[in-house]
Amino acid sequence: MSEKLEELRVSEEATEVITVRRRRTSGTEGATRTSGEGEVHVWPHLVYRELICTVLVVGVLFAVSLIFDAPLEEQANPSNTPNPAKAAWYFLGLQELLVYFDPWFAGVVLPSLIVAGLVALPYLDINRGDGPGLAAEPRRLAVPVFVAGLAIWFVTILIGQYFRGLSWAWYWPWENWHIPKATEAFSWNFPLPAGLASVGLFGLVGFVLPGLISRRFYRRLGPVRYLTTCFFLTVMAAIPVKILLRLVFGVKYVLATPWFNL
Amino acid sequence: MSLRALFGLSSLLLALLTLATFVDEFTASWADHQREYNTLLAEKATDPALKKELVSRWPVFEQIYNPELGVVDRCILCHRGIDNPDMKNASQPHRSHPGNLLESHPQQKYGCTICHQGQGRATDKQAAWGRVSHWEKPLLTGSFVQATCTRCHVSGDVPQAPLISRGRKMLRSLGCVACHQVEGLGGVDPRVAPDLSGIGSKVTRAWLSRWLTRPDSVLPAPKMPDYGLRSGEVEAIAAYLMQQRSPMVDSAPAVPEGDYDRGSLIYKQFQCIDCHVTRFSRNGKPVGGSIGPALVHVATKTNRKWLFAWLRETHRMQPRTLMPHFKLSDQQAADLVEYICEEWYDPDIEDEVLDEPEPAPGEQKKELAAVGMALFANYGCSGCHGIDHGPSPTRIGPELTYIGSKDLHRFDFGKVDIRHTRPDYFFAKVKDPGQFGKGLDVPSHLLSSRELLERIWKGLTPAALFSERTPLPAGKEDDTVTWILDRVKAAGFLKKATMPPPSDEASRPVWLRKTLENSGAFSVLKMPDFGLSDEDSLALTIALMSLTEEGPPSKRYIASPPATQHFDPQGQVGQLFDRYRCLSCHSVWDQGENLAADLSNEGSRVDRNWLYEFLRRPYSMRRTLTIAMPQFHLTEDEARTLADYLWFVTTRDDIPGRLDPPLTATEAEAGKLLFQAKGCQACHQTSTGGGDVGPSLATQVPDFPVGTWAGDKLREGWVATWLKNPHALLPEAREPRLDLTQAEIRALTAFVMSLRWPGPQQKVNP
Amino acid sequence: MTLDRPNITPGINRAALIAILAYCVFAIFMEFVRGMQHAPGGAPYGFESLEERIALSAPLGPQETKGKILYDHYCAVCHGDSGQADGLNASRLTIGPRDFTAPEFRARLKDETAVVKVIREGGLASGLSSSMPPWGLTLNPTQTTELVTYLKKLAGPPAGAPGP
Repeated sequence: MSEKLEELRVSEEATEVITVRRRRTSGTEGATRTSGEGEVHVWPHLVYRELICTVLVVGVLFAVSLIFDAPLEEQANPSNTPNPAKAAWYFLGLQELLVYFDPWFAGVVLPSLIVAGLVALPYLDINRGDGPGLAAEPRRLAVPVFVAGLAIWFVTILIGQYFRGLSWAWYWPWENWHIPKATEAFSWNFPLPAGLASVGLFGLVGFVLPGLISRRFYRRLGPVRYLTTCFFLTVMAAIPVKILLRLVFGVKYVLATPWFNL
Repeated sequence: MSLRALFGLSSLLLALLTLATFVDEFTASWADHQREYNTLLAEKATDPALKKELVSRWPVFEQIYNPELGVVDRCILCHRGIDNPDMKNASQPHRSHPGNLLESHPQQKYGCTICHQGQGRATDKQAAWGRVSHWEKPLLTGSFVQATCTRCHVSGDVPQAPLISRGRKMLRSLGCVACHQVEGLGGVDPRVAPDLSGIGSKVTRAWLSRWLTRPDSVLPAPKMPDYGLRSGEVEAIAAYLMQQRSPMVDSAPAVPEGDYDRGSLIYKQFQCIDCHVTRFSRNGKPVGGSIGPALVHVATKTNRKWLFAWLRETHRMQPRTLMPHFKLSDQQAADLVEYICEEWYDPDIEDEVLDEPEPAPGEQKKELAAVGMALFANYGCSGCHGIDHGPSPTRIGPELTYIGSKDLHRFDFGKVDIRHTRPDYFFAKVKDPGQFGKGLDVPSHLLSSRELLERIWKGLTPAALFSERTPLPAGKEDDTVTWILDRVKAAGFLKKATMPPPSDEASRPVWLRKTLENSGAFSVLKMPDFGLSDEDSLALTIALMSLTEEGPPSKRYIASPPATQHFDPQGQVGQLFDRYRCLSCHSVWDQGENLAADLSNEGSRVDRNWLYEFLRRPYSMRRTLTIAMPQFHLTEDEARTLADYLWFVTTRDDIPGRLDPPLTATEAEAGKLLFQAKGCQACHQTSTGGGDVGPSLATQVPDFPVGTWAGDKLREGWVATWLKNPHALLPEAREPRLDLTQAEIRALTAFVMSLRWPGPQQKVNP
Repeated sequence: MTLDRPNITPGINRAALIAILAYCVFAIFMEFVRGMQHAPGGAPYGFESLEERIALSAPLGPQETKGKILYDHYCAVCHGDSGQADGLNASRLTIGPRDFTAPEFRARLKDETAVVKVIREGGLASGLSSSMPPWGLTLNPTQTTELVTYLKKLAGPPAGAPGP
């Protein structure tokens, strides 16, 4: 018990204390925070855990390096390129997106938007005055949405790594992916008016629906933040929609124009 | 659980794993092998101190490094006993290298991978052997190692590597290089195939058709491979070839009446059987030489007029032929033709030949002949066969110069179920090329009819003839089928009576494909079947494997071929050698064939008088030989010129004419006893009898003007040199090398030289 | 110090952990599935075993083949093509050559060194006919071994042993 007291004393003395926030109760919005309540010190509580994680991660790396050899391949041969040519695993998600979008979109716009979105995050997720932490509790929508975005990234990696065989065709686990698939999957485009209508409708829903469902959401963010948030949300939501359209219904482009395709 | 406990546990785990990496490194299989080897050494060691030291010796990490060869080989980590003769029967990896190759190629200098390939830097078995994906050069074992010999032994002739030498020779002798360019191997051996100019005046159409259809149904083991031609193709090529006329034969007067008996005598005198197969033995084996074409059915194959012209004007008709020019009078030639026509015909197709109408190149055949010419070019026939005004010889196959380095993915394995490696491909391809000929075999349900029609059109053989570039006419598929059919019919491939096309339009393209396949209008595969044995295929496989981009690793390592003396007689002698084609049977230095005796040392070997008389009246050297030199009826002048030339030129400086000091009669007496004691009489005949394996040493040929006993014929110095080591003079000699002292050699020589014909020496030649 | 679990949204934490683990397990599973799939053209044997296959299909083993070449060249002229002492030259010898198919030769073959001695040093050295010359300077030891291997083939299986 004296240890606890000691900690408290130290935290009081510090002019600026880095804390790990522990909230015992939920839904106490607007409750004022008293300094030191429910807080513990970084040392040893955080650092110790981090140390254990570090040691475990290094251990796992050791074990993996003992069991598996590095998959080094032969010298590159420009006249004999591998089929399919796969990127490093952590980029396979992006490469997989090339199936669903044109390169300008999948390779340029989307990655830029991801970076831009991450940069914008602190400016969109405003402090609600209930503490500086990054607690999950008040972010019942924000955290799941972000996790869903992360999940798209990793699911596409999984698809790219294990479900794409020769000529980037889809191979189920029970199909031998060394055997070429004779026929290319059937695909079609939306007619232009339908495409325009779909994209417009989707954008409209993405920008208007959140505000309609929760007025408070709009009021709290203000118009600029609201629109920015909705923009990122809509684009992110469009990706799984397009993936499904492509994989299940064989839709190549929703919007096919002579200048660009979506 | 407390955080401290968790931290302690994870730290312990990390420590253990760190230890495991060290253990893993130090219990590598190569270290185990080294310990095993040291134990083996210790078992054989006698010195107890050494024994103790060996058992406790630590494994060492070593490699062979030769930057000039690009060798970094760690094979010796496991193969410790590679140069230890005690390890001859040890188990692998401790066994020593078989043979004595390491004496000339010490592994410390050359390393291992320079010959064996594999991955020299690797330290475990699978990786070192290159049996891992993406390692393009797996370990070569057994005969396959020979494939790398030619990197340094650039001449391609490696005495200790018989298969590669044989394979490289086969590339030329089978005519591979006629269709496939192989840089450094040169062109096709002109003797591979005859020139076909004027062939229409020579052969009968019935024979030609049969030959083209299946060469091996006409001759056993024919030189020409089986192209698997369809009947349509055979007909077209035959039509083209029958148009090749020889004015010399066509305009010649009729063959005079010949006499069978006189012809038979000439046949025997000329020893035709030395070079030609003239009959089959009772068990079906061909009897006769293989230098010339088999004559068993020559009367069915050729007509009398051509035979007559050939016997009279051999060298005018085919300047490159190996056959000597026999000086025959018209009557003699007619006699021989009579004998040939009576003896050597094929009863199976003789009637067909007799019924054959007189060749008259009619108009209706012209188109077919044009297709035949296109086919002749298409199959690359002109690569081996010359033909006047024919298609120019072009190499129709892919170049093979670097086939051994060709990217694996660029080989078309088709549906052949073999491992995807170069050697497997080569073997399958040369052994049975037909199995790769499934180019058009696309599952038809995958193709639209239109696509299939396009494939059919592209796959048609004589497409070049009816303009390959012509695209299919636009329109209904049914029209296109008719369009293709018409063109193929016009080219002479389809008889009028074909199966009627099915009424169902969709199945018409498939029907068309089948019909055309049967007609022979397709050329899916051009490579013929050589009917090679497994061993020949292996030799060829190894030769192909050796054709890589990698030259010699460094100029210093190029093995120069042994220097040879070139034999190319000029002037009168050259003319005689050419007219009588001496080098078709005999060899002199590096030239010629090995059917008859090697003449490289003939001048040192025999007496000049005997040589002169022998050239005039050749006789069979021993009873067991079936071949003998033909009677050329040389004039005195010719015989003298040749005898003098051989006697002066084909000599060896290290073989003396006479021995010094001269041989004595006492030595001859001793030699006589020695001759019995050493068992010489088992093979050689003397006046007291003996065997028939070697030449008789004391037999007088009847009616021969000079003595033909050993002492009359041979020269002292040569006999002594021969006795010392027969294989130094003639590697393939049957005579064993005996362990003789100098005195014994002299005694035996004296005895052999004392064997002289007691009869009168009739004359001394000019 | 205790490992006290933060009680913030334990449900989410657990779900995330399970999802991550499931992801890893699935990835490892797929790694094995794909690793077991091989490209076509994996015939059961490759060129490394080609020589063995050829040797198996040949009537004679590699040693016997080499031995036969030597036999046909040097020996057959007296001992006969099939070893029955009926070579071309056999009738000309005062003491006939050895019949390799006779039972007594099969018995002699048990002592291989004696047979090798006759071949290498000649008949006389072993008290046999002088018509058998010594081949020790003509054939090297390997060739002699090959020759003996072929002789065994000619002689057939030893008496009492089951036939081939």
